[in-house]
Amino acid sequence: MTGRQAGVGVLVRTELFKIASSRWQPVALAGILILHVPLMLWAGQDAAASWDGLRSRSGLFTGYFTMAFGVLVVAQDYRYRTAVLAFLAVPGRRRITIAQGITVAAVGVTLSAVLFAAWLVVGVVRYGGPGMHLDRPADVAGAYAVVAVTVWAAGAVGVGVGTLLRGPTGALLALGGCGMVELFPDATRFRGPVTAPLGVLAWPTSELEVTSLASAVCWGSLAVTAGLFAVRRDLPS
Amino acid sequence: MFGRGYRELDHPAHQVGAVLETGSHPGRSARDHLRALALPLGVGRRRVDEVLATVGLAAAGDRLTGGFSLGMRGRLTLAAALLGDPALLVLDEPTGGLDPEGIQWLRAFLRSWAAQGRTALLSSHVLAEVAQTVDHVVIISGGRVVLDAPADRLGCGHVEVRTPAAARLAGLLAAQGLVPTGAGHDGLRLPAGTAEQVGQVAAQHGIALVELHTHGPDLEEVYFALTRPHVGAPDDEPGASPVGPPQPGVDAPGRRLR
Repeated sequence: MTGRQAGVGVLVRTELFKIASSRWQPVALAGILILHVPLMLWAGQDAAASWDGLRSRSGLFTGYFTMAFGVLVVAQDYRYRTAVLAFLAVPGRRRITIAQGITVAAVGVTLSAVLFAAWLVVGVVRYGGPGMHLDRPADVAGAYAVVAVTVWAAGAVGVGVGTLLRGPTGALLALGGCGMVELFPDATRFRGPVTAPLGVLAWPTSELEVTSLASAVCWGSLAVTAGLFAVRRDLPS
Repeated sequence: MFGRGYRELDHPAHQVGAVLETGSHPGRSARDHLRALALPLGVGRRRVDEVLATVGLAAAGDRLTGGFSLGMRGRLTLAAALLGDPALLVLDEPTGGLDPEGIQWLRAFLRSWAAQGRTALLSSHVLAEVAQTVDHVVIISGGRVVLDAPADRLGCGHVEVRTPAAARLAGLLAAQGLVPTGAGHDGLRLPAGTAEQVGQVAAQHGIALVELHTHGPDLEEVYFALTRPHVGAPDDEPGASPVGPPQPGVDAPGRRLR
C-alpha cells in the first residue's frame, strides 16, 4: 500500500461531511441535545443528587445513542452500496474504519461534553459552585473523563459490530439481544459489551465501577480490532 | 491495472474510474453524494459540478438521490467514476436499468470518451449492445480467454438482400466475383462491405430490392461458435460460418486468464 491515498484526517472530514449532508443525522444529533432541555428546566433535586446524577445524565443516553450511531454510520454504507465507491477511492479499507471510529467517538464525546457542561451549569445555578464540586476541579474533570471514555467505548462497539455484520437492522437487533442476555447471568451483567457502559454510567458520580469501565474499554477495543479485520472481507455482488 | 495491483496504485480513482454499483444514500443530494466521494480524492466542488454536467444531471444536483430513477442512478455512478478524471473507465453491465434514451446516451458518451484517446473497458452479457459500442472484443468462457480481437476483424458481419429475383441477382453478383455465403428463395447473404456493390448491380439490371442492409458483427454468434463449437448455429450452412477464417490479431482460443 502506498502512502499517497487519502489519510485518516481527510477520511474523518469525509465522514463528518457525510453526517452533515445527510437529511436526518444532523436532526437526530440536535434532537439528543434538545431532549435534555425539558429535563434541565424541570428536574429539581438537592445538590448531592444533582452531582451524583451528572455522569448518568450526560453520558448514559448519549453512550447508547453513540453505540447505535456507530452502527448506522458504518452499516449504511453497506446498506446503500456506497461502501464499494468508498473502497474504490481508498482501497486501504482499514483507514476508513479507523476514520469512522474516530468520527463516531468525536461526535459522542462532543455531545456528552455539551450535555455535561449544561447539566453542570444547571447545578451551579441552582445549588452553587461548591455543590457541584467546582472547588475540586479534579473531581469534575475525573467525572467527565469517565463519561468520555465510556461513550468512546460504546461508539467503538457500534462501529465494530456494524463493520462485522454490515446491516444496520441486524446489528442493532444483535446488540439489543446481546444486552438482554447479558443482564441475566451475574458474570456478564454490567460487564458485557452492551451492559458495561450501563454499569459505569448508571451509578452515582461519586461511585465508580472500575470493572465495568475496564470491561467497556476492552469490549470497545476488541470490537474495533475485529472490525479492522472484518472490513477486508469481500463485498457481496 | 497499469502494471500494478489496484491497491498498489498511488491514486487509484485518478487512474481508473469504475462503474460497478449504483449506490447512493437516499437522504443525500446528488451533489453532496459526489462531494463525499471527491473529498478523499482531493477533488474540489468545480469538478463535482463538471461531472454532473457531463452526465446530464446538473439540474438534478440538489435533488435527493432517493427520488432518482434507475437511469439517473446509472448516470450518477458514472459521474462518481469520472471525478478523478481517469484514463481508464471500467463499466460492469452499464446499460442495466437504462431506458432506450439512456442507452443511446451512454453509447455516444463512450464513443466520445474513446475519441479522446482514453480507454473504456465494458463488461456485459448483452452482446448485441456491446457489438454496437466497442472497438475490441475479449470473450471469456470458463476462465479462459477464447477471443481477443479487434471488433472489425471478427469477420462475422454480413449483408442481407431480399428480392423476388434472388437467383438472377446471385448469378449477376457471381459474375462480378461476389459469391453469396447463403441463399434462400427470396434472399441472399453476402460478405460484409458489399452492400453498395449489390445495390449498384441491382440498379443496373432493373432488379427490385425489397430489403438491403448490413448486419454488424453478431457477437452472440461468435460467442456460441467459440464456446460451443459442436452446437450449430440456426443457419449453419457451408460458407455461412459466423466466424471467418483466422484473422490477423485474433487470439487462438483457450488462453487461460492469469
